[in-house]
Amino acid sequence: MKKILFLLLFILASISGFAQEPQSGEMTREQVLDMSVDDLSQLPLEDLMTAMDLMGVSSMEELTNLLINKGMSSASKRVENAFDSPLSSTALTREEIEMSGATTIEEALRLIPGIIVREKTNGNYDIHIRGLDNLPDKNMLIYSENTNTLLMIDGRPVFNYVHGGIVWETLPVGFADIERIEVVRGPSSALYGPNAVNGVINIITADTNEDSPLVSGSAQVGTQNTYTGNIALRQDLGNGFTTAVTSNYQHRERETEEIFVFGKENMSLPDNSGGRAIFNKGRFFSLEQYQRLVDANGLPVADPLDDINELFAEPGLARENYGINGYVSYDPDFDASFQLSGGYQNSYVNTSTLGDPPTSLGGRKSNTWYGNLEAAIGRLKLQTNYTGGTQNFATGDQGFKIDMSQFNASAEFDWQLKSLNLRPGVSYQSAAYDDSPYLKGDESGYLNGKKDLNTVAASLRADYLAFGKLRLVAALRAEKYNFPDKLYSSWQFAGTLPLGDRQRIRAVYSRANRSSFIINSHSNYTWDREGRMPPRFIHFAGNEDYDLMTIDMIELGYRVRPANNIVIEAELFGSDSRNYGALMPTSTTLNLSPEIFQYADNPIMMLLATQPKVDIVYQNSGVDARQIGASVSLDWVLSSKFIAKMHATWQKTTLQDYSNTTRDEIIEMQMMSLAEQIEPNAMNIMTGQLTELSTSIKPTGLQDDVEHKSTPSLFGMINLIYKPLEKVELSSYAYYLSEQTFVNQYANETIDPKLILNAQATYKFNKYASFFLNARNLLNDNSNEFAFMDNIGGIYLAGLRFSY
Amino acid sequence: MKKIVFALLMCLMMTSSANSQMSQFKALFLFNFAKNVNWPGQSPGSNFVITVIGNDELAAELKGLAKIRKINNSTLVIRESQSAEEVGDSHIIYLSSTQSSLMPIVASYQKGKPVLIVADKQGLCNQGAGISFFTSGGKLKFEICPRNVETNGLKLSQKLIALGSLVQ
Repeated sequence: MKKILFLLLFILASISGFAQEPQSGEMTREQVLDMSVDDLSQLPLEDLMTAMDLMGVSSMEELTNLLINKGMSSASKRVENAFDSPLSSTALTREEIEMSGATTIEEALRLIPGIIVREKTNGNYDIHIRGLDNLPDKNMLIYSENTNTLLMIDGRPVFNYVHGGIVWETLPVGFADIERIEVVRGPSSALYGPNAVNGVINIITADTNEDSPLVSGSAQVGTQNTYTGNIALRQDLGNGFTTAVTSNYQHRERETEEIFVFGKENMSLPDNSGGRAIFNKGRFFSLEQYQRLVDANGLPVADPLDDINELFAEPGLARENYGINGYVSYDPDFDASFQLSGGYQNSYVNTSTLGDPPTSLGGRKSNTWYGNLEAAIGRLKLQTNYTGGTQNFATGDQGFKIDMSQFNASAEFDWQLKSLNLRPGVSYQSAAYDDSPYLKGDESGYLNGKKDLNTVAASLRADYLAFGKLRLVAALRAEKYNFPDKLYSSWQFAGTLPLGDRQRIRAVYSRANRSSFIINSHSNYTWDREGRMPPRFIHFAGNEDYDLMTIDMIELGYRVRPANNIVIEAELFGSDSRNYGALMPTSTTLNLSPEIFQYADNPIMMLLATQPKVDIVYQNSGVDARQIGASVSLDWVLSSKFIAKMHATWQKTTLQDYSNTTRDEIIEMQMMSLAEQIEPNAMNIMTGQLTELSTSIKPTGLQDDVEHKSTPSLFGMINLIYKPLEKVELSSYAYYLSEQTFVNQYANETIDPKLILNAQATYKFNKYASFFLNARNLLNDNSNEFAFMDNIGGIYLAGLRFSY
Repeated sequence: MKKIVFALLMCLMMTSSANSQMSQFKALFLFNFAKNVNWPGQSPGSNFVITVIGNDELAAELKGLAKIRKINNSTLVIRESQSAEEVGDSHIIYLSSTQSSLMPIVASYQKGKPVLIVADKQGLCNQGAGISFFTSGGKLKFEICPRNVETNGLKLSQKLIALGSLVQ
């Protein structure tokens, strides 16, 4: 089926390629060139348009419009020139994405200043705006997920409210859907609600109109069994109605079927001759080896209750997903417009796990659908949407398969009073998740029923042009959550002062916060660790009353357009974020009975016999992250044949009140503390007077001014595009990440700096079809970009792009 | 080094040349729009005022046109403004793409006045422009919103509506 879809894409492209270009009208370009302004001014409008068509918009003009005079809407909730945006923001157009050769939406984000994009497995990425990633560290891999950025498609949140973060492969849209991607850097909860902590990514889908191609898209095939395809069918139906159907597909494989297993002291792999190889550090093992690995006590490293074939049904697969979307819009002949969209996606990836197994890799499967309605009636903007489906966040791991439903509704009024724009709004969100349909018998999920998070919000944004020049923006939003049962406010104050036509200076002060997530508030999971090292049971519990992670940021910005074809932008930012949280141990309990003394000569067996139970509860960690940084970017259309773009970001994050203790170290400390109390209490235990011992001790001593090294201190990109001939386009971009040191509860890993060079050569047969050769990581630097994940080497592709 | 400087100068010159041609055509379009719109109470012999916000080249092209052409026997007067608030009485207000963020403010100040607002970025008809230029497929096009124009008391010719991309 997938191959048939692929073939269809190629056939469509080929047909397009043979189509003839239309003939021009009777007037010739030479005649137009000979005309004086007086002559041209006497032409009727239709002839003037013909004359303009013959002259054509120069490539330079088009490129300047495309790159320098971009429009964007996410920073002010209305289309404005990106140069005038009051916030640090960037719009990336479909054309720029095509020129870059990016094969996924995630990779395309490397073209945007301030975004850290690290590939984990082929086509699966970690993406953070400016950083603040992996906080608190020394914990599970899940805390490296980006819970600080709100992703939206046309204003519809696409966000994982179970754990927080973005499940990128579940985006139903592909390149054929996209008009542009807009990114606002910095706290933006006042505009878009919680989780826009460090910014917002808003994917704007293309409108369909009479100029839209009937069919457009691309398909490419490459090494590592990489296939991608995108197609859109668009039709203007007349009378204000338009419709479109789009589809996208990706299949990507890993270079290996091995999985990374975290190291344990004296972990060993028995061989057939009775010997054993010792591994103190984590490394990649085959699935067969993983099942044979034992720890220092001879206990299996892999969970004996797991079915390896369910955990890793296709270990060689990195990503496979497809999506289909439908759009209908209606512009009636009164002041209103309506857009209805809906779609479905199905995805399966092997990437960093959201669970807590001994491996870094885990499977994730999702099939979700959505409906989204946007209506503008006069100045009233309404939007409502629903996303439903099933997601298995850790395939093969009990309790991770969940039915999800998210509902959003919002209303805003756009009120322009001379130089003052007021935008009051209200919104409601409900996110409900239920794991009970997938729990068999007495199995424990981590919710064990349907759980929900509800949020009601009111907001007001004022945008005032003072003295005809100074733009002042104030946005306020109040959010009432059901868990925690608290009211949070967020704000954004921004000022922009133009220095003539060509310069802008900006300042922003803003506050934003995360929402709660289902596992933070509602975890209720008992992990039976039978057959493994103690503790026997770990119970994960949510917390309905904790403080939501909050950030304050100050930013200064400067934009200059020294010539019509150059824009340079610089921004300085400093932030203070706090109230991070994690599932951390609160107490450990031993069940005591006289029988435990039969293991008196084996402390580990005695401890096992007490069936230690650890209670882990979501709680604020106390760590405070302070970040300073700066970004610079340049977009330069040197000529109609040569474009240069670059951006670079430097940042430094330091942690205050930092705990240098892992979750497992706390558990060990508590268990050892209790174990030491067994012998002094032996008599009471033997007589049955003492049946339980419990402790809540925790390590003391917090550190200040600790440098947080999970975020690269320097990252950025240089992109050069050269069009030596009308039909030929050469594009190359290099993305750089400086050294980073990732810390989790099992291991540390320092990742060397990496420069990823990408290149694409395109030959345009005609305006309907083009052929391209595409290289991702051209120099095949076969190293990893994210800790404990795959080496990401070169991928070389060939493909067709078509538009008819 | 000299070659680099020369290349850079060439680039800037090419930009300037391309912009000049585009400004000339946009000026001609504005002139033609004026001929295809009916202003209430516009009497022959009075001045026809076009105010340009944020595009010096276009204003210069229009001033050149004003020397050789009239609009329905009215003298063409070109004014330039740097402020959305201080635009005097005009028949047409042109808002350059670099100043498009001022669109809602211009529309608010001109609400109810017999003014055709012409912008230069796709999507601005949704913010109150009557006509807005955009480029597509290597061609200069314009979107047109009759409702925004006619609520200000102006009458558009059917030809003008037909030649634009209609925004309801």
